[in-house]
Amino acid sequence: MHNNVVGTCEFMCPTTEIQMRERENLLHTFEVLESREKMKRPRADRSKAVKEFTRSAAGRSDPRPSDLRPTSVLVKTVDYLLERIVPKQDVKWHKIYDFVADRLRSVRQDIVIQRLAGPEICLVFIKCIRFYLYAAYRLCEVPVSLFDPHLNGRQAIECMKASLLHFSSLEVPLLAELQELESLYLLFNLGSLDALMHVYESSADVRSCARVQLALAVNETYLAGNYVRFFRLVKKLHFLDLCAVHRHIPQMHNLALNRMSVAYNSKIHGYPMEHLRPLLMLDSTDKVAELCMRHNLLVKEGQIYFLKAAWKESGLANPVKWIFCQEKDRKTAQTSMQLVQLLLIGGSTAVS
Amino acid sequence: MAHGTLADYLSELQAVIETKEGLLAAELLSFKHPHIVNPRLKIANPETQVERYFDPPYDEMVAAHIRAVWSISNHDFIEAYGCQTIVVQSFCKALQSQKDENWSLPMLFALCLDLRLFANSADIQLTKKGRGKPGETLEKAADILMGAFRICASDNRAQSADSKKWGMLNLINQLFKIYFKINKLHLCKPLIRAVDNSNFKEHFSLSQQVTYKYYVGRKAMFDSDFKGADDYLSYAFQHCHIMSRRNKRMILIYLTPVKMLLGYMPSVSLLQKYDLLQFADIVSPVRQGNLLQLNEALIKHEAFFIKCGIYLILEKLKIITYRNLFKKVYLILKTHQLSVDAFTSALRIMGVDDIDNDEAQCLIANLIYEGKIKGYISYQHQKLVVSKQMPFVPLTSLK
Repeated sequence: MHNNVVGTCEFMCPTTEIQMRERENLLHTFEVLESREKMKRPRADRSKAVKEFTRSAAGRSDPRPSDLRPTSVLVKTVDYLLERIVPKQDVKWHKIYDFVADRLRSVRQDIVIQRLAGPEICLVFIKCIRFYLYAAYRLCEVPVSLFDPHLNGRQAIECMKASLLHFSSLEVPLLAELQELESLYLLFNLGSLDALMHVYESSADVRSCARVQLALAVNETYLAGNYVRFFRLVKKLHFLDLCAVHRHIPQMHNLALNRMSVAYNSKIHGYPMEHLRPLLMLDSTDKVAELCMRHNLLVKEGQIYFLKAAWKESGLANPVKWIFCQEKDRKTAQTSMQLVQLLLIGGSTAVS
Repeated sequence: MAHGTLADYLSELQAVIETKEGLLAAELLSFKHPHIVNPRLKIANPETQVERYFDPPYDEMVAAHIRAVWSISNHDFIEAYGCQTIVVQSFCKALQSQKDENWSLPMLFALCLDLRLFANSADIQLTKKGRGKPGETLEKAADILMGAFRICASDNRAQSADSKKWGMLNLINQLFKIYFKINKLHLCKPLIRAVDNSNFKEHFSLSQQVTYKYYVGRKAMFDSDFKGADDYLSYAFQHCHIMSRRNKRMILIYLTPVKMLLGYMPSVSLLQKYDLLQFADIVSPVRQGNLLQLNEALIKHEAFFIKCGIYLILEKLKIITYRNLFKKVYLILKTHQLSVDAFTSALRIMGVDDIDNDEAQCLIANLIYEGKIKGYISYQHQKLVVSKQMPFVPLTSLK
């Protein structure tokens, strides 16, 4: 029989931890009292200190209730992180990411240890997922030493899988958020049979909504190799859905050129770069040329010479902030307020 | 046996084990047998009595079996599963010590079957209580079955007739059922390899082989090896006992889409015979190249196809449908230089409203890439130039 520990910590960070970190000078710059910032041993600002993630070590005794935060505090913590820390302009965003990702992980740990459940927890999860996916897009051009998309991806997937279980055990379903979750899950795991089967096995009112139907359509074009329709549909995605599918776009570029190198195979006739550019949503003909040359396809005078024999497999290019993505970003998450709304409620308009 | 005392039961079981009558012992330990409902056997702590009749490891095994009977009478599958793991593990100790003999294999089969069935029910009960992840118990059961499997597979010493290797296929089939249920098909691979490497392969009983090939065929489908899937599933269908209508239908559910992808459409009479007319709604639009109708049919029978896990395979029929439509265009225009406009128009006529030349070319490009059309696209002239000889490769000849 499991007796769930019930957390009693009223603050975003347990007192014992604050005291320890003050003593050992382990406070984060985001957590210190401003007036004291220049002192050797800064003091914590109670309203800013957030519980860190620490691995539960084997042999360590069970956490005390005073170290665990109940649901209401976890909700406040997540909202604080997304409202106050994420939109900060005075720090490089990958540093913001490190802090927020760590603190969110600690939030999720408190949830697991206390076996918390219910609608507020579901909303906590979905806010975390929105953060991870947004981060995946925002930091896609940052060197891997500063931001590791694989680690972020793993956190996102872990969170998605946990969410799906939590959402499915709600007595009163959170339909809009579930539709959003299924859509993000499918797109982030584009081409995955598991994710697809999951969506098909979900209830009709989840599956039949416009958002999930669009995600399914994108997935279908991906599996079918229909690169023309793929990009046409991707353009229509909600910004968060775009963030989710973003990492799979290079694969589609690769596939398109591969198919075309066979189908348009010709030693004499070329294919105009400027025609291909918008089909693949690339920023310029220079970028088209770059991609072609990666695969050893000859480019001359604005024409691509698709030659089956010349085609060379090449590792996938990293996804970047293509112009069409930046445009969507500008429309949805340009201002701090917009960004915060995106993460807290999924955007300024209701999820369609 | 539904009425005797515990002593009656224990002495009978002891006797058949002593005389190495594997089948009878198996019955007395199986939950299909009437002794399960005997109220005198519903004992929570039978150890003392059991120890009078059995030495280790059988004492543990039988005591756990009785405790399982007790748990089942309380509808506690979680507890029953726990007891059954002890039954199987104790039995395996005995099995391992039996050198050069395999009389007890029927016992192994019965115990493992119940283990799997209890695990299944335990998972359902646990999920209802909000404990544990779905499929967790089944996964644990699979680990135990693997242990039993290894005992059988590693029996290299005995003569053919006495080898425990004869137990392999039964256990593999049980493991397959679990792996398919928990959606971890990749775990089937080492088992398939073990069978391929064994020289007993062709000599297992027909029913075992049919079950085996059914699962291997389904796995091949999953891996998009449609030729392989066709071989295995066809074997299973042909050799499945004529009276097992339900099994034959199950095989056909998977064999039909595979055949269709290879270009063989099922007859309506066959589908009618096995109550699978859902496929009939698919066959016609695929043949005619009617995408809209195909989509409608897929949606109409969505629930059935999803439940059987073939929805995604059927989606692959879309490319066959495009191919059939494009072939019609070719046959109508009677030239080997086909304007892309013609294909775009054909798709529009078939209900794909928002298609344009670029997308039509993309669909054609995919068909060329997959070897279904022999030709190339000229962007300059906006034409598909096809080979003068059999440009639309017959589906039945493709791999």
